[in-house]
Amino acid sequence: MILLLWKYVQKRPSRWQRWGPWWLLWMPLVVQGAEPFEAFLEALRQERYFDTALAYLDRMESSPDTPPPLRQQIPLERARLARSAAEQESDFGSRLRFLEKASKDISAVATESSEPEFQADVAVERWEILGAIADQWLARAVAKNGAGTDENARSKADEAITQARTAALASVEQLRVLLKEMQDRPRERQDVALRDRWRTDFIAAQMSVPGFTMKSAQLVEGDEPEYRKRLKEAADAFGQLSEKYGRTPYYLPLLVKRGQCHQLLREHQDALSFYGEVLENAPLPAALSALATQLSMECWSSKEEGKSQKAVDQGEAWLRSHASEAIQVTAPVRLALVKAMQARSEASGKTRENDLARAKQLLSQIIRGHAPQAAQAHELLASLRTGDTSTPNLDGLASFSEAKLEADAVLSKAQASESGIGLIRSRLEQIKDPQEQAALQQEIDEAQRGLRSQYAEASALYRRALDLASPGDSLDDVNRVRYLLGYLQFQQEDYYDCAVLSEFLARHFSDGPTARASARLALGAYYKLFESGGTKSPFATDHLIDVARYTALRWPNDEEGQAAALTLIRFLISQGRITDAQDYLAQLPEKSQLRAEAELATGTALVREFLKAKGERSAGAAPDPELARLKEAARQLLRDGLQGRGSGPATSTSVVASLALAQLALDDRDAAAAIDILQEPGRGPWTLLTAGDPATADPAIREDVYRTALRAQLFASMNGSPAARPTDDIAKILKELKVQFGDSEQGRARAVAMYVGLARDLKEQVAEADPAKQGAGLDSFVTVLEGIASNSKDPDILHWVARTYQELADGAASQGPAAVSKATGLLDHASQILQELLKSPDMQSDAKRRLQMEMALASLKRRQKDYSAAIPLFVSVLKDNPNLLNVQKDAAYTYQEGQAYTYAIKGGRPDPKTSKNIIWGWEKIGNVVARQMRRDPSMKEKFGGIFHEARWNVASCRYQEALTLEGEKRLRYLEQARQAITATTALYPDLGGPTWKTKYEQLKGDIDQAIRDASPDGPSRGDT
Amino acid sequence: MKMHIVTSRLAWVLLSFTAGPLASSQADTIKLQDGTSIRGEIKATTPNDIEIAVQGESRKVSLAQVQQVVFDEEPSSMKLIREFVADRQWEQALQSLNRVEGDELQDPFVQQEVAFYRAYCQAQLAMQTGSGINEAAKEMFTFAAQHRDSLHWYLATESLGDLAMRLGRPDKAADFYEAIRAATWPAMSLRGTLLKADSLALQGGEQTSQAMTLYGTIIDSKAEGPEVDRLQQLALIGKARCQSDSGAFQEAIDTLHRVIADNEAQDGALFARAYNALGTSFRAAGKPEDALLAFLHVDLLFHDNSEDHAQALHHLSQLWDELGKADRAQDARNRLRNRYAGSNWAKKP
Repeated sequence: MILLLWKYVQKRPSRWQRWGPWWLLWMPLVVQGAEPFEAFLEALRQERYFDTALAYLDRMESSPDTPPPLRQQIPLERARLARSAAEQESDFGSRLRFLEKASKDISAVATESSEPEFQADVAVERWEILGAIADQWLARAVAKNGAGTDENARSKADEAITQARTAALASVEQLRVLLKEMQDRPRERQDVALRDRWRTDFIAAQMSVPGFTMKSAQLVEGDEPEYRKRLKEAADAFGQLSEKYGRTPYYLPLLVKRGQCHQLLREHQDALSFYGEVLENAPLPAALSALATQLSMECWSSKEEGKSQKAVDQGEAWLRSHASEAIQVTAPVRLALVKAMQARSEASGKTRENDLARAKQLLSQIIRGHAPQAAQAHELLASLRTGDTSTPNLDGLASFSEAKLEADAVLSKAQASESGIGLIRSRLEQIKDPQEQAALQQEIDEAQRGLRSQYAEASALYRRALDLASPGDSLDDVNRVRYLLGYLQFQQEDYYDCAVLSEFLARHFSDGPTARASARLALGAYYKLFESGGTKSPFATDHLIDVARYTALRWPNDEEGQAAALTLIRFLISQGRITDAQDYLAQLPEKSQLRAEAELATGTALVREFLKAKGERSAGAAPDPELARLKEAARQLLRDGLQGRGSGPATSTSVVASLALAQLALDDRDAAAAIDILQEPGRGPWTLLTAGDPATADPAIREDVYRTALRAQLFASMNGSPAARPTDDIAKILKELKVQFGDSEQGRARAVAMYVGLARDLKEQVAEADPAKQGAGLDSFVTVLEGIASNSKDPDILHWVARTYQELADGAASQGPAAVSKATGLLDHASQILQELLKSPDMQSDAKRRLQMEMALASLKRRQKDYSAAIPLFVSVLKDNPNLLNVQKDAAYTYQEGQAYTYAIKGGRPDPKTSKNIIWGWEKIGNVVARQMRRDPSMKEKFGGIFHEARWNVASCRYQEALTLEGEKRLRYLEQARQAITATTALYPDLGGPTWKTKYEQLKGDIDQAIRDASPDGPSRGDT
Repeated sequence: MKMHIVTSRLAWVLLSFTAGPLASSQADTIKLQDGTSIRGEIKATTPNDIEIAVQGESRKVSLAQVQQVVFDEEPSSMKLIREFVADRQWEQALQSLNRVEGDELQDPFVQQEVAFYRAYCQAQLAMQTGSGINEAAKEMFTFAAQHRDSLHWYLATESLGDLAMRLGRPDKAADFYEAIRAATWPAMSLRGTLLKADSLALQGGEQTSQAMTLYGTIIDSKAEGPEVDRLQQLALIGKARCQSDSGAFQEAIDTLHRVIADNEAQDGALFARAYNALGTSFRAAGKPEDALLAFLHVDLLFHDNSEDHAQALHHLSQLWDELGKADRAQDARNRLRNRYAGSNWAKKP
């Protein structure tokens, strides 16, 4: 603690910085003169590469080129690094090992013939190291673990405190002499910087002495008079020092120390007044502020004060105002906050869920930040577990091995219980009688309750074992206990704690026997956390990736490493991070089963991405080379993966990969290749499915196999491919698919989605197909459209089906008279669908959709030449929407095609209210658009074509009607027809441009000829 | 490492820019290395010298003496552009270049200046990001071919060599660097020699002995000056790399230790190159712990040059793995990928 306080006062320069000026004098004499020792060592320290820094010092020490003064100081620097390394460790044993190494190194420093400055530095380092060792043992000795006192720790702590105090006193005396000597020098010979540094070291050493007295008091807590005596002695000493250094930066740290003495004396109000005085001083160094806040919070949440809420508020407020500080600085407050929340829960008798989550967050940040309080945080985290109802008697356990043996025995029982539950479960599956089933289920429930209790008991015992662990216990044994504790946390669904503990083991003891298993456990726990939080849990996602990556790289040739790599790749794929997945794939050993599996997973993901990207492209878009590359990359990966697997038994991954490969072949329009893949002996998905292979047991996979097989067969039949199977096989597939989809709403939706996708593909194929093969394609298409119509009730989809039938009919009609009957049949299908749709109750309430359907059906009826059915539909549409020009045109054509020429020209179906014709006829259509064009000449472009279409049709209708008449009547109608054209030509001499002009001229020619033919004199010779 | 050299060269020719008083003098200005300036009308340039008329009298100034050139009619934004280039802010420099209006480019020298900077920035950006290298090479080649008399011609040629190196064509790069050897002042000529030697050394095989000979030429050169001294140190590092490649590890390591001892650590680029070479030699000699310490020097202390840093991170990512520190290896790998995605080192397995 003194060391900590000391750091608030002044950041001391590193040893190298301190010695730099004089050891650099030797530099010209050595070969490695410009090697930047100091900067490099400091950089290693900053990076916390303490092990590397120690190795660097070893090299410097063994190098013949290192100058002797530098060599002399290496043990001291090594000690300092070991002390820093100890701070980084989170467990007692490792910390102590580093500190003991530091102590050994500092003892090895030869100071006899060295400069006084160097001797002083060594003395300071010595008491600091011994003080740190004392802190470790003291924490162990006073730990409240419910197991009585740890006499060994107490004795070790006592010994270390005595040694540290002696070393500190020696340092005080040494520095007192040096400062006196310096003071006696003439002013011009005084080194001010050195004097200030010695003064700082002198005060710190002085402060440490009552600090050690205070610590020693904690070792005699049972002896109240002695305890109080020591603490009062320490408080008085701190008081004297604070009076002495009242105007220096040491004053506030001394107040904190005085407060601490009063706090230990349970004089909390006095302690709080000291802490309050410190905290009132702003700005305060963050570390000192953290310490004062932590101690203050402890006072508030003590049993005597009972104000844990105040402590929680203080802690949260402090953390908010120090959010940017490093975890090393904030860790004491975080820890105190967790303890305050615990105290609050104990006081109120209930645990708040939010508190638990917050506490876990605070503690895990301390652990992950490698703060010096990490070990404490670990212990607290373990004690925060929920649902731990077992309270085994831990008092009789005196050593790590005893506790571990007990725990192992309970764990064995738990494992036996697990097996027992498994047996009962298998019996339950075989039993049909409900009563027996209920009895067995009850048995299982009871056994599980017992199992949970055993897990909890074993956990408590393993934690106790860890409490009792000492440096003498084998590290492997300790880590095995940690691993088992993690395993039990996993079993108890305490995934958060399990993940943190297991990851710690996997990373910090990566050479140990439990490291691999711990990595696997951590991975599993993070996966569970991911499952529960999904993408909303970046913590779980990031850690899962991080641990998988670490495991894969750390043990690339082991089962754990390879499984982690595969998990990582699959996880990245599931997160849409395909490129990252490919990067990791490239790192896997070639020609390995793992590589093959990963290639299949990645290749399948790429196929999905390819198909998705392709689906998002607009029709007719130019080929995208990037998409083509993606497709080829996917194909290559799948082929490599399938080849890499060799002839091993099929798995769901390999089946899905083969399906993806077949889909790529279908995308190439190579149905034969797709069928080859599907029917490949031994591993083709169709082959496996028909043979009942377990790899195709998953219903989703079965559905995919049928779906792909159907596409392949339909495409093949469309192309007349020799690989095509008979149509009855397609029917069989359809039947199987129907079973797969089931009759549920969801199943039908899936069926429709599949058929729609298929239909789109087929439509493209029909469009691209050789006209000679389009007939075969139509049959396939109709099969698919029927599939949709029979499964879907969605009006949009059914409307789309009807439209598609119409389009197919158009295609068929253009193929000549032979295909007319096919076209008629297609139109009947369309019409039937639309009629059914219009009958549905939903359509009655949806006017807009009804209008759309009526328009579609009217148009269809016209095409079917069912004019009497078409006209009422047009009336229904136009009644409320007379300005729908295209519908008006369609209606006029309907009259015209039905030879109702007058209606076609003049319109028909008067509205009973207005007496105006609902269907306008060509004359009105022409007049309406002419008026629009007169009002707004810019509309000419839009309406010009319609106007001439209308005018031309007026003439055409007259002409057509005339042809149905005889004699004078025919002649009169023909004259009217010619008049219509003449009038239009007079008003619009350009006749709407070359296209319409040609049409007008052709019609006029026909009319003139008909007039000549109809004249009483017969055809005029001169006219011919 | 080249980046540093290039920057030095830029500082030498282009960058130490104090345009304020010059802009108002209504004259082209050549600022010399010794701190003096010549003002007048620049009549002609070559890759080696500048002809300037001062009060009607024409004189030639060797580029060896020149620290910077400022054209009277250049756009005011040129100052900022040069500052961006000095800071290696290629994208910002290009943005400013793109904002230069056509009517600001009446003077042919200014046109040439802007064309050079555009090509140069594109080349540097392409090498930094790893994309568009072919296009950048095309533009720089066009500049070099059309402006054979540019005062930046050697730098343009060097950029072409660097681009060829990035395209994995050290043989082509050697041809470009060879052209720089024709410079009339020793520092530039030796620089071309060094670059050529580096490109030959990279090719390995028979080219190594040629590289050694060229390094020897530099090391034995009697030319003087701080620039030459530095080139000689870089040549020693290059020679040590060749020694290491041919199996003479200890000789290489001794040479590199001598270079480190003889120089000041303030020259970060030189030290980065030396420590990378030392690390490579230690690795080749089967001393991974020593190699790690050498590369860590670059990672922790001499990381200003992106190529050197990328090289060190590449080796560290492998060495940490070899030494059982997978998390540190992963950290090095991540930094390599995140910071230097365009570098060839990031693409190596």
